[in-house]
Amino acid sequence: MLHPATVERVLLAALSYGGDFAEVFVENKIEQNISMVKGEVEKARSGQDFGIGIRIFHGSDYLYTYTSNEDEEHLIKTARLLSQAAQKSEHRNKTITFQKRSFVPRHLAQIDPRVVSIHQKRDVLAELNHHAMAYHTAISQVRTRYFDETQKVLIANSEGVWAEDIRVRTRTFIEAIATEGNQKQRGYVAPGAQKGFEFYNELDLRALAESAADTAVRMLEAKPCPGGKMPVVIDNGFGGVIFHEACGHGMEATAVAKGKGPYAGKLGQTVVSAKISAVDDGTINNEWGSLNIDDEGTPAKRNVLIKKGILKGYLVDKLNGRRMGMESTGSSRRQSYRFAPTSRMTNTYILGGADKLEDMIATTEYGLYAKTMGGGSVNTTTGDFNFAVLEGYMIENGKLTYPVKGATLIGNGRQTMYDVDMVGNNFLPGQGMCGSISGSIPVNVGQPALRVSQLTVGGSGQ
Amino acid sequence: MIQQLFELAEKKRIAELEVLTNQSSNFSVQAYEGKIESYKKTNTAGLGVRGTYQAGTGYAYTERLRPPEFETLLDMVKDNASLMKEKEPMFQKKEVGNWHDSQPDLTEKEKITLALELESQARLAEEVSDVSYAMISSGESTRQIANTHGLNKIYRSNYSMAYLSVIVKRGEEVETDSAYYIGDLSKLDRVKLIDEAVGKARRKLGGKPMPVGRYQAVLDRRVVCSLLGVYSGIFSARNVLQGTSRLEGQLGEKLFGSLDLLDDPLSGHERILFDDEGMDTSTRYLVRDGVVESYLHSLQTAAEMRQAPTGHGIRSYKGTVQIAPHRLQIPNGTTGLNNLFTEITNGIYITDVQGLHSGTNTVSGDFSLAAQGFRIENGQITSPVKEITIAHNFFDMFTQPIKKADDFDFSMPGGHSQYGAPSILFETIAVSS
Repeated sequence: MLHPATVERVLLAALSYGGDFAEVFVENKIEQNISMVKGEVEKARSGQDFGIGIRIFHGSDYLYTYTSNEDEEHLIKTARLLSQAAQKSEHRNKTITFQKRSFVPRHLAQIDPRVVSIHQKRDVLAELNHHAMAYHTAISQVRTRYFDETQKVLIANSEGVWAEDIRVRTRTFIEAIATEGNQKQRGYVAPGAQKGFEFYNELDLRALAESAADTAVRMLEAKPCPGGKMPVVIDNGFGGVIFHEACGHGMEATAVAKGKGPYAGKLGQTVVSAKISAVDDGTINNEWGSLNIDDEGTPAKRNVLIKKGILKGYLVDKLNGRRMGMESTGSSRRQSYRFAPTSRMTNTYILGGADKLEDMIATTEYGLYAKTMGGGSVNTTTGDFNFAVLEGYMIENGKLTYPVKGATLIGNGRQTMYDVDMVGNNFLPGQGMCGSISGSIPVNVGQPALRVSQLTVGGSGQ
Repeated sequence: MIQQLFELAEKKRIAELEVLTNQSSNFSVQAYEGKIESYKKTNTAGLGVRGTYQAGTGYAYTERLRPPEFETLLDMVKDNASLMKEKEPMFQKKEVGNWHDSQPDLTEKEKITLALELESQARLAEEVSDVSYAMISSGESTRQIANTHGLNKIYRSNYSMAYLSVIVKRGEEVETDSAYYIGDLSKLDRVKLIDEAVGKARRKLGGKPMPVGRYQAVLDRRVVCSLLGVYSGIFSARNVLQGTSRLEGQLGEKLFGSLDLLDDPLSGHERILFDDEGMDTSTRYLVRDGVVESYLHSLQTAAEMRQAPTGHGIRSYKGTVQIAPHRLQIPNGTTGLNNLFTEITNGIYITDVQGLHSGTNTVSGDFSLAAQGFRIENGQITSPVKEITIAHNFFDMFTQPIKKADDFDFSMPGGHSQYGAPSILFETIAVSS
């Protein structure tokens, strides 16, 4: 990483022609990827990302530059050129005294992945592959992927913040394909954590592989999903992606600061069903979406977003905080030095309720049970969303009758969350990558089972 | 630097080494409410290597381009190669070349002015309530690929682009849409760009669902391009070999009605002269008159299938070799778009789809996508439609008779591949709401 004296000179250069705040972000990341197909390693790669991002604020506008060249002279020149572009009057900062930001690290890795042999990593994939293939004769193909990264960050700014952290993340992907005639269906799981190699000692690899295989095999029997408006029971875990996409993004300052989006100006108002309470909690130990400090050096927090249907807070970064007159909530994140940070989610959860999943199904006359959700997207301006159902079943007269494929849930986030009439007691988180303007970042979603009284289901069945 | 790497590789008993470098500098400005809200200037370089060590091939990359890092880099190559039972073939010919495509570029000041003017002008357009993005960006990049067999090819190019995204509002209802321009910014027609983004957003206002059913449907060229993007993977020989493409064993079979589908690497926003393994590219039909003519190959899949390589090995310096098309396109039709509408008594014109990465099954070909568009009744566009889904199957949709409009264009550049198509009329598509 860089020497404090160098960082100070760069920050002062960044303010030499104007601007009222400057920040340096240094990233050095080592990652390892191994992919396996049919039990053989297909590709193995590793590498090092390295770069320095410099950001200047003047008022609520910003300038950003990044470079992979760590030479001090180059950095000072880059910072000065950026400052010049601000075209403001001279600034008066002469020195900066750094105060090291101390925190108790909550997400320490027990076994550093960099000291684990690559063959041990490969063996994890071999085991997953074996269990998925052995699960059923219909399984024709298994793809698995191993991933770990160690990201060292340094964040220093003209207010004297000096914060350093090491983030170790581990994740594995299992995709199983079941074949029957020319029909192919897939099942997929991808657990991850902010942990080292000990992650694999705590995982039940067999159960994971079998759950991916099970989805694929069950979907072979599936009929095309009938379309139309109907009640939908969305089960726990990755089902939380709907709240993440449909509501979470609307609560990011990025969406709120300009007065756009469905939740701008709605603090203290009822914005979703009174059955729903939701938080964004970056402090949960070793979770995939957790942080010790955000990418502006602010400690992560547990932020209450919604309490019993009432909007309680937003996710705010420094820059949007200026626009909104609010403090940062420790929510500023970026994929890498190549992105200026902005307000993003960490672990975004709908909290557990009192209803039982069995009762949700038993009290539904005709509807869809979405057991596992796939990905989706949302237009944060309008709140309109769409999500794929990876594994789904029709509910008829209170019972699950047959599996369905090709189902899509579409609707409007605001409306859908009003239409939640039952909230389950079976909370579970799920891991994902969230793509937005500051890049692709690890996040958790999570929820108990929810019943939406009416939702549009897309599908080609009759 | 590359020579240094080759020498170090030899010392480390790495039998073959391929080096891919990318150096780029980019500039972008975004205007908001009459000010430059974001100003971004970047300068990066990265280096990726692929090496043969013992029986296998290993990959590694670094963004710290300093000789002290090269030691670690090549050790990573060896470590990764030790997991592989087979090696990936490398380009064996001593081909060298140096190309430079240069486009006129504005000065930084001119670009800032342009962004500001674009934003303030867009704000004045009817029913525009906000401008999400008024952005001018430009960049230059140099890509080099070299290996220890004497390959050494360099390509340098630059681009300039304007992008506008607007929000329109009528009563409580909001809609958004965007438009882009790529090329010489001094020739940018701001009015046209604003009209396009605002026009597309405004016409969606007042949209309503329509009755569930099967309809004649015109898919706008943007929608066709999106579907091509999602389903182009079925032509990848890698997917064929792995059993995840339904085109396995289908070369020479008439699967797609009367469709023509070709890859022309010299078309689109930037020429692709050679792939990321050093192989020269060429124009190639994947489907001609409905018949599957070719898969897309890297050197490795070509060797495995004993077919000729096609120059579709794609990688960034960070990644491994993947297979992807360069400029995949359905050639233009001859009928005006409005003439296609006149053939429809009760149907739909689909202009937007969402959920491409979740609502599509690339193995089965099934897709179910949230969509927006317009009802077509008795040959005329009548009212906007939203909150519907359209469902079909990519393998089945071209077996019905299709009619192509004459409005061919490419999709917005992003990533390596770019897709081109005209709008197309399909006899039946399932709509639900």
